[in-house]
This record gives sequence, structure tokens and C-alpha cells, in this order.
Amino acid sequence: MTEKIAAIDCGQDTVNTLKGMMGEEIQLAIESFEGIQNLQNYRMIIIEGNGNQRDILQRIRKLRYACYFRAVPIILINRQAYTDSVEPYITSGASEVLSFNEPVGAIQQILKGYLIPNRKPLDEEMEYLNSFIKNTSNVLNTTTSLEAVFKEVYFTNDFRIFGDISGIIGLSGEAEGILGITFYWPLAKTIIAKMMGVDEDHINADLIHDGVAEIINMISGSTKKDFVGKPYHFEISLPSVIVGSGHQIGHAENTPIAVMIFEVNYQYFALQVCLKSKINRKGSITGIKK
Amino acid sequence: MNAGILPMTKNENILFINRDKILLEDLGESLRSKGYTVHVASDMRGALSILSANSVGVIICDNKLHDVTGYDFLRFLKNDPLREKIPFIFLVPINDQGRAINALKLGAFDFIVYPITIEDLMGRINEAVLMPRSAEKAEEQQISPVSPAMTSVENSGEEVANEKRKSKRVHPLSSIRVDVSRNGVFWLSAQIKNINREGVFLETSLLSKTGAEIYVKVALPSGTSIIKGQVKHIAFKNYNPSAGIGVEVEKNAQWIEVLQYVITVIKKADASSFKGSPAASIMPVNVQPAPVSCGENKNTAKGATPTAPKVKLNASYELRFYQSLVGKQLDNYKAVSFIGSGAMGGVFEGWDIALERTVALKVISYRLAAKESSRDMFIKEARLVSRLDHPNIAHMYHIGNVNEILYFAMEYIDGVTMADLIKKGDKFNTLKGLSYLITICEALDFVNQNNIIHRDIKPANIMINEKGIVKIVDFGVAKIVDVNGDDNKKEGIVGSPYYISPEAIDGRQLDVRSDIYSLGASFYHAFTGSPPFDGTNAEEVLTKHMEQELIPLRKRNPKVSPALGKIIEKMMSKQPEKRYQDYKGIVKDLKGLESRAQTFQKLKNATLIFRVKPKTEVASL
Repeated sequence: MTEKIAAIDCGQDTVNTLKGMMGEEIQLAIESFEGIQNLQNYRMIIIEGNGNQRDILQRIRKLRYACYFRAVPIILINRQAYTDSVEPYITSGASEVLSFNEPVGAIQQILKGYLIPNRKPLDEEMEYLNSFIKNTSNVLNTTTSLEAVFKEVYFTNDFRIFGDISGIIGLSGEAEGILGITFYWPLAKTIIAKMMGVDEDHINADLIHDGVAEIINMISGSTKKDFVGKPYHFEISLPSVIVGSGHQIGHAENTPIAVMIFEVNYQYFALQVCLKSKINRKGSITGIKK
Repeated sequence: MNAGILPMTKNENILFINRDKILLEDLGESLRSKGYTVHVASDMRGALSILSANSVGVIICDNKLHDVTGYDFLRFLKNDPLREKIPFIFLVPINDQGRAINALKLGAFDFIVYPITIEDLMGRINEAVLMPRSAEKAEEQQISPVSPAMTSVENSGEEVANEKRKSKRVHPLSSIRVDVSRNGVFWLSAQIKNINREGVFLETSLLSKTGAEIYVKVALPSGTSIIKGQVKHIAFKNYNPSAGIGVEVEKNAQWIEVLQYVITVIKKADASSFKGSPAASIMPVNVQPAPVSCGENKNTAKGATPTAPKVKLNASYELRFYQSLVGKQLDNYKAVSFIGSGAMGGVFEGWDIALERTVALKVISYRLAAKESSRDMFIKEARLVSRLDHPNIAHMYHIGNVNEILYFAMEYIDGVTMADLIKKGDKFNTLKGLSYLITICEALDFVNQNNIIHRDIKPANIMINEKGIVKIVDFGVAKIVDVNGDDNKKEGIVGSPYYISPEAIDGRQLDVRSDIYSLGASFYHAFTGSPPFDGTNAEEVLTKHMEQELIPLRKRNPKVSPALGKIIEKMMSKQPEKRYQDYKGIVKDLKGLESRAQTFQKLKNATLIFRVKPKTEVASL
């Protein structure tokens, strides 16, 4: 099956090199950043790092935003090696930063790795995720009368939040982990205004803090109740509200992070769950390190 | 094509959205007859569906749609970073012209008042596509994809951090590491903007609340200090990615230490800027999204600096490749989490969706994937292991290739490696160690009977599962022994420095006795807690394997029985001829020892019972 990749602002040489590297299994659609309007049908976005860093970072941010939390890898590629830190690109939303000066084998394999679709949850993982999904929809509906429709879930390896505002809460007890909810401002403002019964123009820092903290608190609190007597039962801590994008949240090693995407009136938000039960499937406490 | 037709590219079409079906059809048809490609919709859902499948040059939209208002749709599009640039022409009734100005404020390119003529419409469309995209200007003005139309938000009338004040302002002190937390669990980086005896003003991505408790962690040369405080005011404007928080702190000795340190740094910075040399530590404030550290005060000990999660950028290509696979599915196997990597590839905990069981997934290293010979070697490993059906050897389930990524699925061992136990300082007691050693010898004897030598026996490749069953893993460099002894193929040194046999270092032909040496070295390490030969580098260790006499095991751990020490030492003889020639000999000696040890243990237990009994009798008297 050929994979469709958007090659944004890529010069012909870059396109030819990529085609040579990736072979027949990919279909490169050459797009300009100014011309591209949606990323719906692309499995991956490759953007060439032409121009100044500020422009590139801005483009990456916009592309990441336009992915609406979907697992679309954004690869920044350059013909020259990067002399400065690549961290700003990653915090802006790039999944990987590569240059053609790097070993061809590495570029090939990394790109191929990113092309493999993200896995869907196992049945046992769905056991606890369903509860989060149900409670997220319920909380939004109860507090704002908005209908949050669950769209999809996938797993990822790092807990990085891309969005404008996030609520994060630590989970501990029989199961440990982190729960985070992330919005872009337009939807966050709609939700906060409805929750707090104010006009969107009157939202202030306290209301934003209280609104987002309350949402994550209520989702985790109601899910906690669902898990009483189950291996996923947890206690919750005080929520933190974070503004800005690209923050990486430290999480337990070897614990996958489920990203659940919800739609509210054509806008999206994401719920990220990183949860590991200390009790294994057979019911005993796991004492042996894997 | 008619004169005056817009110069649109073939990919750019018109999206015409209107509740009035007749108008939609009539105008749509008229535009089509003029050579335009027209898509029509009567609601936002339909419009979005067209936008997701087509590249649209101009949107012409009614002020009311079936599901939302035209304003809502316009606002929605202007918040979409890729679609905000599509020119939007608003259609308004004659009595609603006043409100149309709102559409322009929201970012509409133009508006047309009903009734519409096809000529007027064409003229506006032409203007829209000929005009430079307004979005470019907006891009220059703001980095955030958030619409510039957003209103400012400010709390409690306090000035924001960036506003100029008449009072003396502290330079941003980026050299001082500061983190803030609401709960002592999640820590976010912050930058000091101002400081005095009462407290500190910080810029951070952590949005707090007036009156809330907050912890400020400051990295001092003497260690990390955590100060408790209360948020007095918040400055958060224009939905920026950071906020200013004024924190009133608890005045204690720690705070005085922090204050003194910060003042010293400021003075130093001021002095260096006075001299005209820009202080490296003084940089413009730019609160970059930074790793959010998480952990229950694990980093709070004096001297410890807050640890941030590993940023994968610093990882090797190899790790970056493995990271790209976490959360992916290779055929029937889901890569659940990354366990670790070795010379041949990376190992993941996986899940077999067909047979519903946990598996270990081994994925070939990118370095080896490009070489045909290495791919063959990887496949060979899978085939070799699949031949070894033994309870103490991890079973092979499947080998596959997805997107040229070669992998195999094998038995997942939920347990620890012998290396983990050694690292923890768990020296084996004689009986348990004997039992493990006997089992491994029997398993390796089975391997040998299949004319295979492992070539990398070491504590990390010996696993002990939850039930205490020993398993040999990683046959990545295993080799089929040529029974005719004609194998003259020269290879580099294969093995791990601490456990490699002298003949392997020497590049001589290997047989079962090389594995016996490595097994002896592994158990020497397990029984004593130290590798048989150590050094500052691999070369030094290898030389010692070749030349240095082995320190008797009992000298390093007198608790080990002399007979067992002798067996291990014989396994590790420098000359293969002086070692055991096969595993059967070792097993025979070990079993003899085990039976003596068990008898001794029984006697020891009996003694205990004997000792306990009189006491009971005394008590019953």
C-alpha cells in the first residue's frame, strides 16, 4: 500500500532524494505551505527547513495545530546539518529533525518507522480507556451542555502536549500515571465561558485556571469512582494548568500514553492518559522489574 | 474561456455556501457556465467536508447556514491555521449591512449585499484571488496560531511582567534554574523577573490562581531549595504562552539564602555589563516550553538538581528509530513499550493481537538493516532459535518485515536478568546458584547438541522469570559450528569483554568450550559480585583474560564452597583443553555438589528442629 506524504516547501532535489530513499511505497505530494489547506489525507508531513528559523518554527506550529491532535508525524528535513539546537523545532511540533548529512540508513529507517500507523488499544487497555471516554463526554455535557464526541484513540511514546492550554493531574495508588487535557484557545474559551456563565470576552486568568482545573479534576474524579475495586483504581493530586505548547511531561518509563481525540462543534481537544496498574493481570502485585 | 475569468489554478475552486437551494443552484450553475469549478453546501458540516477533500480558492458564504451562522463558520475558519488564508466573501441581506462590518473584523475579505448579480460576484472573486493573501501579514505579526482578534485578558488590574515600570527592574536571570509547582509533583520552569524581600515575580507557563499555594524551587550552588509561597497576583495577557505570577514567600532561612544568592548574581551581572562585556547569563526572557518534571520531591535533596525527562534529540539515531516504533503495530504485533537495545536491535514489549499474549519484539538496528549480510544474520538468529525447543530457551514465534523493518516476535520473559540481580548486589547463595548453573548447563548442552554456540553468554543474557525459571536469551551472534572443523571464516571479536574467552579474543576457531568459559565468567561475577577481570577499558580487560591469572573465587567470596570455586575456575581455564570439554562433565560435578549441599542443608534444618524441641519440652513441663 502506498503512503501519501505531503512534501511541504521541499525543493526538487529534496523530493528526488526522498523518492530515491523511500522507493515505491510512498507517494510524495509536493505542496507549498501557502497552498496547503488540509492534512486530512496525509500519513506524514515532510517540511524542508528553508528560510529563517522563526518562519520554520511558525510553519511547524501551524501544521501541528492543523493536525488537530492526530498522530501525523511532522518531519523537518534539511540538506545541511543543523548547527543549532533542534529542540525548538520539536517543541513547536516536529516529530523528528533530520538532515541529509546524516546516515541514509538512519533517515530511511526513522521515516519508515514513523510511517507505521500508531497502534490501537488492546482490549485490556480499552477497559480503562472507556471509562475516561465516557466521563469526559459526561463532564463536558454536564458542565457546558456541549456534546463531546469521542473520535479516535492511538498510542504514543512521549507525553508532549501540543495545544494552547492544558490541565494535568497526577494519579497514584494501585495504578499510577498522569492525565492531561489539552485545548486550543477557541474551544477552551467556549467551554470556560459556558462553565463559568460569562461572556467569552470576560474570561480572565482565574477563570481559565479554575475552568481547566475543574474539568480535569472532574474527569479524573468520576473515573476514579468507576475504578473502585479494580486494578486501575487511583487517587488524584492537585491539578496543574499549563499555558503554551510543546511541554513535555515526565512519565513512568515503559508506559504507553493513550491520546484520545474528542470533537465539540467541529473543534477538537485531546485527553492524554498514561496509566499503569501495579497489579498485574493475574491479580498479584507486580514485584519484578521488567 | 470567457473574458474576465479569474486566473485561478486548476486546484483552486469556489466553495459556495447558502441555505437557499434555488440560489445555490442558480448561481452555482452561472459560475460554472463561466468556467469556474464550483462546490456547493448548505451547512458548515457540508462545507467542511468539501474543504477536507478539495483545495479551495475562494469561499462565498451566506450570513446564516442551516447549522450555524456564517459568522461562526468564518470565526472557525480563521482559527484554522491552514484555512485562515482562504479569501472569504460574506453575503448579507440589505438590512444587515451594519453587522457585515463584524465579518470584516473577523477576517472576511469582502462582503456582498443581496441581491447578487453574477457580474458583481465574478468581479469580487477576481479581486479576492488577485489580492495578496492577508494571512501572510498576520503571520509576520504573531507567532502563535491564535487569531489576532483575541481580546486581552488581565487579572486584578496588575501590570503584566513585560510592561515597563518606573522602578528598577531586575534583569532576567536565566542562569538561575527555577521551577514552580502547585502540588510538588509537576514542576515547570520559570524565570525570575523581579525579586525583593517579600517575594518574587516569575514568568512561567504554569497558570496559577490568586491566593493559591505555590512552591518555588531554586537551584543554588549549595543545593536545591524549595520555598513555599502564595500567589498574590497574576499577569496573563493576550493568551500568551506564559504568565507572570507574583509570589509572596514564607520568610525563612531558605528564602534568605535564595534572596542573597539572586542578589549576588544580579550584582555580578550588573558589574559585567558595566564593564561592557555582555554577561552570558543575561538573556532576553523567552519562556520556552521546557520538560515538565514529575516526581514526588525526588529532586529536592540538597545538592540534587531537578531532573528533566530525557529529550530524545540527544539520543542516538538508533534510539530515535526505536522511539518512532513505540505505539505502532507490526503485522499482528503491537509495540507496547520499548525495553532496551543491543548490538543487533531494539527490544520491545509487544502484544500479539491474534493469540492475545505478551511477546518480546526484536527489531533490527537501522545500522544493520541497510546491510544484506546483517539482515541475513538477523534472520539466521530467528531460525536458529526456532530450532531450539527447550524450556530454558526463549521460544521464537514469528519473523516479519514491515516497511523494510525486520523484526521477530518471541517469548516474553516477565522477570529480571542475572545482570540486574548482580547490579542490585544480590550475590547468589550456593544452593540457588548451583541450581541455576545446572539448568543453564543443561540448556546449553541442548544448544550444543544442535551444533550451535551462543558466543555471547553473559549475565544480561540469562533471565529469571517470575516463577524462578531460568531462560537463555539473545542468540544474535550465535553460530552453527562446522562439525568438520572447516570453518575458517575470519570474523571480528564477538562477545562481551567481561565474559569473552581467550580463544575468542585471539580470533581462533570456537567451539562449545568458549561458551563454557563465558558461563564460568558469568557465574564468577554472580557468586562474587565482581567480574573475573576488570580494567579501565575493554582492551585492558581483554588482555587480562589472555594473560592474568584468575583470582580464586573463594578469595573474593569465602562463603562459596571450595568445590564450587574449583568448578568455576576449571570452566575458566585459559587453555580450552584444560576446561571441561562439554557440559555433561560440569553437570555431573555440580549435581554431586548439589546433593551434598542439600544434605548439608537438611542437616542444618534438622539441627534447628533439634534445638527448638527441648525448649518446647521445657515450656510444657
